Amino acid sequence: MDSRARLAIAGAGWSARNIARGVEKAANLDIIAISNHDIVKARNLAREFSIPTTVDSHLDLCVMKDVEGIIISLPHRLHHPVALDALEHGKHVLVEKPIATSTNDAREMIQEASRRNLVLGVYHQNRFNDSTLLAKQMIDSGKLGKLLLAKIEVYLKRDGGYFTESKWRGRLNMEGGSALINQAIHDIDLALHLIGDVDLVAGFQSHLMHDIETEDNAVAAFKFTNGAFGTIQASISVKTPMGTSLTIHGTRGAIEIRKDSLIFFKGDGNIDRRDFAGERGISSKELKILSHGRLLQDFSNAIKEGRAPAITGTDGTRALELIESIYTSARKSTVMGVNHARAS
Amino acid sequence: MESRKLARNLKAGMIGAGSSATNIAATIATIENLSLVAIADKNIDAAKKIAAGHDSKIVSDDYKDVCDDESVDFVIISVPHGLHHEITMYALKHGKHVLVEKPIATKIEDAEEMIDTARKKNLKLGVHFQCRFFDAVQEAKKLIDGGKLGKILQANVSVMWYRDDDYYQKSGWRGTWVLEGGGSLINQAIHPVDEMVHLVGSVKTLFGLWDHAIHDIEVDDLTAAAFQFENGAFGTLQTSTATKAAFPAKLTIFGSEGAIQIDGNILTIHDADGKEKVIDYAAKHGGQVGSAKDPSKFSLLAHGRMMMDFCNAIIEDREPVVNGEAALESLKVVRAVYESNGEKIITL
Ligand SMILES: NC(=O)c1ccc[n+]([C@@H]2O[C@H](COP(=O)([O-])OP(=O)(O)OC[C@H]3O[C@@H](n4cnc5c(N)ncnc54)[C@H](O)[C@@H]3O)[C@@H](O)[C@H]2O)c1
Repeated sequence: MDSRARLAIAGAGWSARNIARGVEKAANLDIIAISNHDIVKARNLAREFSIPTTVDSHLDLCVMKDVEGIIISLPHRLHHPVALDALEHGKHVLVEKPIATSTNDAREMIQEASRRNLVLGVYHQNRFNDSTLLAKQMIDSGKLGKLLLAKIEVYLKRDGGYFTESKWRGRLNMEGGSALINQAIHDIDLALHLIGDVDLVAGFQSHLMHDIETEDNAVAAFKFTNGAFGTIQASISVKTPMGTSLTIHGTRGAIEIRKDSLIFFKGDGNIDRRDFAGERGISSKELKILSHGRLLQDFSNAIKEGRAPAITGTDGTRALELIESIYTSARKSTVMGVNHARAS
Repeated sequence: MESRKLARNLKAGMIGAGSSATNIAATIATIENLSLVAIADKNIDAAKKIAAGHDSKIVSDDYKDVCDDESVDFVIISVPHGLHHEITMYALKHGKHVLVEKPIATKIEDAEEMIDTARKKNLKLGVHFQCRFFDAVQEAKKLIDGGKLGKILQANVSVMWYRDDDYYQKSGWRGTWVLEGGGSLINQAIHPVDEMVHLVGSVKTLFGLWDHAIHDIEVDDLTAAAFQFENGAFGTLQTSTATKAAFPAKLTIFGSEGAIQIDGNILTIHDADGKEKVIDYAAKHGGQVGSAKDPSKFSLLAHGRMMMDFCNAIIEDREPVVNGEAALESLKVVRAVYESNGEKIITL
């Protein structure tokens, strides 16, 4: 068997470009085809990244014999049907976050992959950030003491153009939500990865600024199974983009985790700052692409080695489980229990 | 320095002579025409200690002696939270204006009774939220009311401090529901919560969590909450006295056009271009605001303004800036977190 995985990308939008750049950092795979319903966009990416084949439907990718797996980078609502098509045709699937727009859809994808013995991975590339890897090590080795609180802050600027350029954004039936399911999901995923499962949550959400169906502002508070608390503050309608961060407070110390840095606030008052882009002598953008590369490499190895990927379907559903509970909580104005499926 | 002279003489009585009372007594000494004529603390030595610098004629271990004295114009109540209501009611019934320490009370019904009684008797009821008098808070109010932040979208209060076991074990009242009425939230975090409701408005619905994560106490050393304001904006809060990695207490307000952060008397403005401007009023006034570790270092600037406002409210027969109604808002938020307790969403 060839040691390099042969993959295709369904979708040629903004995130497909990051994936293609990530592929350049991974040593063990090739993108051999790309699809987009507007084929011009597919051709543009194909030219830029030397992808040999362009088609206008993911179904064409599904029937290509050479394609071992499909990376799905499409509007959220399409993740589920396209993943099922791919799995049905015996293709491994790596799906962009969120895994789906509902946990029911996600479970169907997980079952289908497991029934067919195919690899299903979820694209939460921030799990592979230097900052996340260090945070995990610090927490597991007890540097923070007993964990008390996770504070997720997401303050981004998405102006009107963001929603008009891509018609699926801001629409409930296509995006499934905005500030939480699209932007905050990354730090929510990290919090669950680093601290554990959540028992209960309640939240509030609305569109305060943009003329959209989905939320541009949301907040929530939740309780982890281990007793720690969490809060989420998310806005994509601020002009001052203060960025995204996850701060974890323990009895002995706190860490503020960002994509390219980690600040360790120690119990004795001292502060340790790590700037990973600086340490590697590369830009923050380049640093991000490294994480894409690591995720893609892991997924390809999982295919070749017949093992589960680092972020399985079940694992990649956890953030969605919490987010879905927040949406329901906000709609019904009630506290929701969160039933995480056990990790596979 | 700002004028610290009253238009006519006022005589204050003081009930409770602990650490906070010491700051207030020191403040009184800086105001012309204001004297501290009576002090009571059930620990008579504490009362004597403060009285020594003020030649107070009444020094007692019974608060009633302060309230019963004819010459006293108003009383300052600085005792454990659970006693605020009882002593305030007694003082009001004996015709005294009252300046009570924060929180106004531990229960909403108690606070409402205090407010009602003061109104019926035509007496002033002020609550010692001196942080409202920080330049940082006053400037923030101007920015928000002037529309500089655009539409207010979110607010966050974060008070991650540390208090050791001794703090709770030795105090005799902290850590209990009856006397402290809560922990990290009602005691340490209530100032920024008060500033938040002052600047953003009343909270409408709230979901909260609390726990005693490490200390052997009845009340919270850890809380978290999410909520929505009446005006539609959203908020979160986090408080703790269980983390050795202490942070400055912060209130952050996010608007569509910019954000501000208040840390004591320091105001940070984040404008729409991403520029950050720090205005350190504490330094301008030549003093440290006080720190999480050592509250005794709190500058008396805001204390002085608070006291001047309350005394002038009496002299001019007007409401003090922080009256009972104003102070009730923060108590409502605090109580909602405790009552929600991870079980229900509270409508305030
Ligand atoms: N505004 C501020 O920034 C600030 C700062 C610290 C404390 N406080 C508030 O001040 C109040 C007192 O707190 P503290 O830190 O001074 O506590 P403390 O324990 O130092 O003082 C409380 C005092 O009340 C006395 N006391 C108790 N029961 C009494 C009774 N029945 N009659 C008379 N005296 C009695 C105690 O002997 C003690 O001296 C609280 O409401 C607290 O929240 C406000």
